[in-house]
Amino acid sequence: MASPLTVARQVRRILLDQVKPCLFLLDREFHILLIDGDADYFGYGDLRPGVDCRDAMPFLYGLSPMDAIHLPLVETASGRAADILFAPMGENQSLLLTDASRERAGRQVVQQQANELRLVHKQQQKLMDGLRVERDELARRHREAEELSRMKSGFIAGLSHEFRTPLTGILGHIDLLRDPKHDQETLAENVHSIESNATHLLSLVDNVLDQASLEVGQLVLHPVPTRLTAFCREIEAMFTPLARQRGLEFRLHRRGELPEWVEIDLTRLRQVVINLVGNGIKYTDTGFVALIVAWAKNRLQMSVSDTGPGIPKAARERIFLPFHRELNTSGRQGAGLGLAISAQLVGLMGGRLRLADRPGGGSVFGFAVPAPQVGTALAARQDGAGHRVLLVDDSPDIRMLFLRILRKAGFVVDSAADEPEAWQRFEEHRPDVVLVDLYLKEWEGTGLIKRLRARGFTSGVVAWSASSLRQDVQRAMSAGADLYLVKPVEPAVLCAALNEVLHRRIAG
Amino acid sequence: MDTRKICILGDFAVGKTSLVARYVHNEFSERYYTSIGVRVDTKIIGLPDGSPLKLAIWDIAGTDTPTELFLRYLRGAAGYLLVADGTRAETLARALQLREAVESQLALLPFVGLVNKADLRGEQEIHQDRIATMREAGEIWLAVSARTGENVDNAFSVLLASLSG
Repeated sequence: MASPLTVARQVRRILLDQVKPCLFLLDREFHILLIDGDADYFGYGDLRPGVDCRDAMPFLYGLSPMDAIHLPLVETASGRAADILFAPMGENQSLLLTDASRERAGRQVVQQQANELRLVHKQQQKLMDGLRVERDELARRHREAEELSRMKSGFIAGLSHEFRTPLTGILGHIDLLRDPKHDQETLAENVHSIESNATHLLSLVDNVLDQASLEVGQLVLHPVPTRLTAFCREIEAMFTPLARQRGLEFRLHRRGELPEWVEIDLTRLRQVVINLVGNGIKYTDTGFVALIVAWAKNRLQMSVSDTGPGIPKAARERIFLPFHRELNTSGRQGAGLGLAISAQLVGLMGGRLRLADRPGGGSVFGFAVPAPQVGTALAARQDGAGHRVLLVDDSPDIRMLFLRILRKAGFVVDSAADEPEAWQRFEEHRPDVVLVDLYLKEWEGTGLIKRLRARGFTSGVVAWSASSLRQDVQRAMSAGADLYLVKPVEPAVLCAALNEVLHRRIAG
Repeated sequence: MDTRKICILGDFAVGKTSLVARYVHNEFSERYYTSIGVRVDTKIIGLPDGSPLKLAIWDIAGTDTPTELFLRYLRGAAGYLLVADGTRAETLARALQLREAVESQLALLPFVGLVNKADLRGEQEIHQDRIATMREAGEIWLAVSARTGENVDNAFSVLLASLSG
C-alpha cells in the first residue's frame, strides 16, 4: 500500500498534468526574468529571458505593472486557452498561465448549441411575422375582392333594371306609333320619347363597355384637333335647356384666353364633362351648376360646381370606385359607372379627377389634362373643300347618315358596302381619302387598307370601328391607316379628322 | 512601438470575430463559431505622420449581460467598437446596454457603433432613421459588412481618429 506521501505526489503530478501551470517572472518593462513550466504547451517555447513578452502575449498590452488581474479563457499562441493570473511580486511581476482548453471546449459546445438555437428561433419568429403580414394582406385583398364582387352583383342586378326601363319605354312608344289614328303632336311626342330612351340606353351600353375596356387596359385615347370654343358652345347648348327644365341655371365661365384649337380626345373629354355636368344637374334641386374652363401651359383645366347637397366625407373614397352606387340612393337613374369611368378617363388623359366641397354648399369636381395648342391654320381647313371621300361601311344606315353629313361639310362622297364595291368606286373616282370600317361583314377592313397601300395609294386612310380595343387600333395602324376613330363619332370630329389626314398627306 | 488596446463588443453572433478576421487577415468564413473568452489579435498600421502603431484588438465573447468579468477584459482599453447585427433589431438594444455598463462602471471611452451584415439588404431590421437618430445625438454609427468588407477598414480608422482626438 502506497504511503500518504506517495499518494500526495501522484495527486500533485495529476493536477500539474491537468492544469499545466507555467510561470513567467517579469520585470516592470515586461522583460522575462525566468520561465518555470511548459511554455511550449501555450506556444511560448521560443521565449527566452530578457525578451519583452508582450509581442508574443498581446493580452498584456494595456496592463500596468501594478495591476493584479485574473483573465480567464484567453487564447494563447498555441491556440489553447489559458487562465491568466497577473500580479505584482515585489519589484517584479508574476504571470501564471494555467490550461483552460478543456473548459473552453466544453463551454464552446454548450454555448454554440444555445446560440444556434436562439438564431433558429429568431428565424422562425421572422418567418412567422412574415407569414402573419402576408396572411393579413391576403385577408385584406379577399375583403376587397368580396366588396368588388358584392358591388358587381349589385351593379348587375341594378343594370337589368336600368336596361329594362328605357327598353320598355321604347317598345311602348313603338306600339303607340302603330295606332293609325295618332295626330302629328302625338307622333312627335312618341318619337321624342323613343329617341330619349334610346339615347339613355346607348349611354348605358357605352358605360358598361368602357368600364370593361378600362378594366383590361384596352381603352386607348385618340387625340384630335378640337375647337375648344365650339366644344364650350356645344356643352352650353346641351345643358342650358336641361337645367332650365329642372328649375336650375347652367353657367359657363371661360377663365382667361382660350386657344381656338387644342389637341385632345374630344370624345372622351365630352364624355367626362357630360357626366360631371349631368350629375350636377341630376342631384341639384335648387341653384345652379357651373362649368369653368381655363387653359394654361398647354393644360386644359375644367371644374364643375353645383349647389346640390354635397358628398359626405365618408363616401368620397368610394365615389370613384366602379359599380359604386352611393349617388343612386335617392332613386335617381344611373348604373354607378359614370364617375368611375370619368376618373379613369381623366387619368388616361394625364390628369386626376378631384372632388372638393363648394364654399357655401355643394360639390366641385375638377381636373387638368394636357391639351397642347394646335395651329390656327387648321381652322381654315374645316370644310371639305371639294375633297373626295370614299366611305366603306357595311351598315346602310351609317352610310346614308354620313354620306349626308360629309356632303354637307363640303366633301364629295362615294360609298361602298364591301371590298369589291370599294375597289369599283376607287377605280372610278380615285378618292383623296378613304374611310374604312374595320369590321365589314365578310371582309376585313384591315385587308382593304393593306391592299390599298400595296397598290400605291399614298393618300389618307381613316379607319373607324365601334371597338376601342388596343389590339384593333394597332391592327389598323399597322395595316397602313393614318388615324383610328371610335364610333360613335361626332360629325365635327369626323370632318376634323378627315381634314387632318388630308393636310398631313398634302404637307408630307 | 506605440501600442493601443481596443475591444470589440456586442451580442452573440453579431459578427465581431468576422470583423476582426476581415480587418486583420482580410478573410471571411460563412461558418458561425461561437467565441468563448477572449482572443487578442494584433495589427500594425501606419499613422498619418508615418509612425507605426500596434493595435491589440480584443475580440471578447458575445454577451447580452455586462458581467464583472466582461468589464475586466476591457481594462486598459483605449476605445472600443460596439457591434449590432442589422438583421436582428434586439442586438442594437443589447449593444446600447453594454455601452451603458462600460460608461457607468468603467470609463467614458471613445467608441464607434457598427451595424454589421449591411450586405443583407432585404433583411435589415435596424433602419436608417434609427441610425440617423443616434448620429444626431453625436454618436458615430456605420453600416458595415464583414462578408464584403464594406466600411470595415473605415470603422477602425474612425475609431483610431477618435482615440487621438
